[in-house]
Amino acid sequence: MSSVRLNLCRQLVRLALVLAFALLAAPPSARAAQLLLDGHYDVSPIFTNAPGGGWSFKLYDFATLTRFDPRPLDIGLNANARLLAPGSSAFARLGAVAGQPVWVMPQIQTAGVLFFGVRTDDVQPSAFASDFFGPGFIALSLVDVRGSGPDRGGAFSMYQTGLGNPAFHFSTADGITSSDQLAPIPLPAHAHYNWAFTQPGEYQVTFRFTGTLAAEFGGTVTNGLGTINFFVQGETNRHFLADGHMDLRVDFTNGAFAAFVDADGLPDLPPDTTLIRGNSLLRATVPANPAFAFLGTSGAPVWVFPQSNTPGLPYIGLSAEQIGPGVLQNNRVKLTLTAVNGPPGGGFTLFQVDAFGSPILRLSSLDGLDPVADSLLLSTGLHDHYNWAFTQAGEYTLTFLASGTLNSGGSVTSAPIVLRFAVDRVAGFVDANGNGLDDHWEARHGATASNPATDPDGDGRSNRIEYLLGTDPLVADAPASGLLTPQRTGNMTQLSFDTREGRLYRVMYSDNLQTWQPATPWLLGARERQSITDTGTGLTPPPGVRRFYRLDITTP
Amino acid sequence: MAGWGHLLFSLALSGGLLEAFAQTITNSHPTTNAVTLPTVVVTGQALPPGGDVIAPNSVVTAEELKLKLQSSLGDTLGWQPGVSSTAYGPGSSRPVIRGFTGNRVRMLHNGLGTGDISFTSPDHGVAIEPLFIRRIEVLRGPATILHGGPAIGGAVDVETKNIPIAPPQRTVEGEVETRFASVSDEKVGAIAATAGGGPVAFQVNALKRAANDYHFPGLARNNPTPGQSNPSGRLPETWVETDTYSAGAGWFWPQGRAGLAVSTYESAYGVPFHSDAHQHLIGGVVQANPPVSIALRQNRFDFEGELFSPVAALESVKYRAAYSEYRHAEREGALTATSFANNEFETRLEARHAPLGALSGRFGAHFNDTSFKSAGLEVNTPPTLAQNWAVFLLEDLQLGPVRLQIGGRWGEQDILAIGRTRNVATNYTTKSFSIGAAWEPFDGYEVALVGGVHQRAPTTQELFANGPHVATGTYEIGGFYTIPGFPFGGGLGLERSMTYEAIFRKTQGRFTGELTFFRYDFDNYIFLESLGPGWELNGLPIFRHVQRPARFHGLEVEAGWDLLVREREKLRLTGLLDWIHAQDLERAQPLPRIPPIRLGMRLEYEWRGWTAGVEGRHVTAQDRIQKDRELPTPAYTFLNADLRYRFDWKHRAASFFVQGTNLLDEQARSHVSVIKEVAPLPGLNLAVGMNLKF
Repeated sequence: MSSVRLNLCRQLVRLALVLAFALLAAPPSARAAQLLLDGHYDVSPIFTNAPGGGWSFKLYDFATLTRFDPRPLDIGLNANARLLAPGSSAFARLGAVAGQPVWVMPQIQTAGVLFFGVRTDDVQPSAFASDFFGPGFIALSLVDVRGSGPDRGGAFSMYQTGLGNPAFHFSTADGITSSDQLAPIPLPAHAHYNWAFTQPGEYQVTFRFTGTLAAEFGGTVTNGLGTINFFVQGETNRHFLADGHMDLRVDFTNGAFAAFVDADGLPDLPPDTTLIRGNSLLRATVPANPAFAFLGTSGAPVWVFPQSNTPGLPYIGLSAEQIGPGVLQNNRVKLTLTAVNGPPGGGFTLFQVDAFGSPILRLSSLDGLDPVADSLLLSTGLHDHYNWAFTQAGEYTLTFLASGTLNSGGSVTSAPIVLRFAVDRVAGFVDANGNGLDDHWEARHGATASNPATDPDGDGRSNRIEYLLGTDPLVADAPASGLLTPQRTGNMTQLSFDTREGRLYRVMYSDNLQTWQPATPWLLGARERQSITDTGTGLTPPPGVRRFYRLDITTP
Repeated sequence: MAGWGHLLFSLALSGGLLEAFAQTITNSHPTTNAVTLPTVVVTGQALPPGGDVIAPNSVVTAEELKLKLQSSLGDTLGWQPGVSSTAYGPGSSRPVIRGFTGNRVRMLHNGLGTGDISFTSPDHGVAIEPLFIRRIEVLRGPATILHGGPAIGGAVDVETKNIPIAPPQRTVEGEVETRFASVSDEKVGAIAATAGGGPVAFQVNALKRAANDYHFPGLARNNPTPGQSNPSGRLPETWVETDTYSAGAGWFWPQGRAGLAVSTYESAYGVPFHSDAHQHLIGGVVQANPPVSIALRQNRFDFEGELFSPVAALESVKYRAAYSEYRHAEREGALTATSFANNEFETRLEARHAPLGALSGRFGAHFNDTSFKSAGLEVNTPPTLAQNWAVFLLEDLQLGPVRLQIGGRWGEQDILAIGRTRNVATNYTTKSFSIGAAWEPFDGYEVALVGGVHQRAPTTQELFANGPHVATGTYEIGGFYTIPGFPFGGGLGLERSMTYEAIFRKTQGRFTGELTFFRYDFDNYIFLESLGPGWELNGLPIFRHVQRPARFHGLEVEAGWDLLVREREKLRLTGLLDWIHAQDLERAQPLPRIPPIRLGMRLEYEWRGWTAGVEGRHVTAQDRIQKDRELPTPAYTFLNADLRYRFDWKHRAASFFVQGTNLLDEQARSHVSVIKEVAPLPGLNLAVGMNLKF
């Protein structure tokens, strides 16, 4: 994120939600995009051939026997729906390799998981009545799947299991093709599916229903589009580092290795809950110099976190500087790259450039991972900087192992160290048109929500504010309140708030409402509750001091 | 059941009267030939007359039927090689040949269609009573040259006694029979009598059959759902009541014969577990389903004429015509839920030409006109008017020990389906061709090879079905329906297949037998494919008719060995083995409801008038199943035994028999049956009966 844009964002959208402890814990306001996590619902297209009729698209609630608009709602899948992909080739269209997490709403009722089906009971049968014989038919096609889940490389599929191999009717694992359609579906029919998702996040799934109208209604083909929104809870709020100096620091304490992201001005952060983001400034091309051929063909795009400090980009090093001398043999820590997960075609290379511009390759997944070739030695007590190069934009997780031989005898290996990168793209916030709104959010709510400055529902909050708060831009809902819930127990202070995907959150505090201090680093939301506990950062005021808090919300 | 006592009384009375009448007749009925017939006769002749098909066929005689007889044709023939039964209960079971059934096995009554709608659904009975017949010929494998595309799997031709084919040897002759079967308390009484003199004969037949629900061991359902009843003891809705009557006349002269008959076949039977297959919704609430039964009635008029050498170029000319009116009501409780009506006229002209050197054969023409309609809650096809006509030729060229045979058939099928606001007409031209050779290298040995190219036109149901088919527990969609832009439907093409048969026969000596290998390659086999295992309409899973490449292959073995042959004494061991492998080639998975490997052995001892037999029938497990359509079926073994005594009684041939089936009372389920998960086969059964010829 450029500093200019960051400042603009903050000016526009900073939410000074100042709460005194006197307010105590107010309940969170009613939030739009309610997450439905249990119950029995069906996708229910509606068609009536009457004035004002035509296609509409509803969710049918079997508990209340009511139909409602799916736009503000998310069909949710949480940890209860998390499974591991089977190894059978029959499940290849899941788009997940064996053992990879998959979130599935099963076609049979399962405790703790929403039971979701498809029904055509609300399609007026006579409208599609066959002019020849029997009831009419409609067809169901998958038209589009978008959202942060697909942006993370997630696949969506609908399949049914019976006595034999699964029948995949819809799958994005191989793209959306002419095979992603089902016909003929007689009226009225009903079905349950296994709804499978391979990555966390939002999936806006758009279907098209098609039918041939009865002869008395013209005999023409009619189509109706409808979108169902799913949200897979599998991500977690992450510390968001987009600028400045930081190291992946390996420590050795209490006989074991530990790793942290050591960012200037911030407390040590666990790597696996931290996301290092680089914006479009990362983008470069592979030099013509053959010495850089390890990055790819000359002229191919490559995204590089540079080894030198570049404004607007993270400046990332590797450090063992807090390991004292004499602890490890030769004062060396070996860091081995063991896994790289990223977008299709995405690879990672770590290299340095010497004083005369020649590259020194340190690690690379482009030629496969080798325990010897893809390891490097860090000197204890020192840190160094590298070029972190990626061959595709997208999100990556790099997994390392730190190991060393103790001078006192024996060798030690760390637990896997996972370091996360967002390369020129942050799943959950895509803003190709640069208007400050997530493009998927715009698609979901329609054209009237696409102008950040307007307020189509007249509730006093612009679309931009509605987006940041996660409220419905098309419903004049109550003003946001209770977004930040304070709680004090003895000398322990805790603040908690709900996050939304694609938004950054930071808690600030002040004793005079004039000067504000950050109580936390920026957090990238993942639609979960975040608690901030005083860990010596000044959250808890000295005795007799009244302290104010606010929650800043912005976009990446 | 009220008429049962009257029937027995009537039969007893008629027997007494006939006995008194017969005493005035001087020539007694010959009986000695009857007892020497083996159980199964394979009619593969070394040098059969021109135009007899080379492909494997079996003939079951009336005598053999005494120990095979069941209440339905399917169960009666179910242990012929390559033949099994749909096993949909005693009232409606139909033969399955090489895994084919329905519209791929042609059911014939005296060479013409049965006029019923049994091919459309396994719960629809065949309108033929198997008791009073002259013979049943089972053509295994493609019989398309003689009987059209619907005989691609085979044909079963039941020759009944409705029309006399020869003058009686006495003024009045015939037979009466009664039997009782313990498994279902089945009682049967029947009489067939021929009267006449000189060139004229008259025939009357009457039969009454009544059976309760049959007993079975264990529990009915394999996988009951919580709260679902699981009967034991008697299987609900397997009762059957049948009444048939016919009257016919024949006229005979040296150059030919002619005959006609009028018959009525009435049958009412339960449809087991029909209510499992569907739901009735009223206001969104599932209603309890009452017991379901079917009542069918067919009135049929037959004419048959034959000329012997009417001109020098022709050895014979045979003409047959039949008109039938078939009505069938499916009742739910006391209400008629769905009714069917099928009027059918069929005629066939066939001639055998005089030999032209080494060339002999037959040719003919065939015409069928059908009007079908149905009404009610569970209608799934529109009313249709259909016409089929065809010409065929089957020629033999005898070259020493080798008989070459070629055959061809050209036919047209026109269906006019009457729609809601429009009608749909379809026209299919079918052509079938076969070529075969039979070689007799030594006396009593024959090797035959037969190949064919066949076409079958899709049926009304395959094209136009759009509704529930509760007998199979499915909602069916024909291949006609389509939505523009979507790759399904829009009609079905001809089902094309190439077939190959290799037959080895030993027809003479103490050891006889036949071994047949067969293979069918379908370009576009028509079958039902699931829309998806989760889709349903009113509780019925949704299926659509599609066409896919498919292959059937298998073998059939039957053999007999006379272990002991003395004057009026014989010990014979017979065996049977059949195996079928059927595969959906596109999805690389088995086709549904294919019979598993079956093995049968029978040891039969004849001594004077006594015949005693013991047999074991083993059906292996079937775990080659169509995914999403069926479950595996375990193996079972039936041990059967029978005893028959034939004797002359006051110059009449009489016989008593006792027959035990499933003596081990083993629970068995037929993989071929649509309802096998809920309906085991009958348990231990003891049947006794008496037959008196006069």
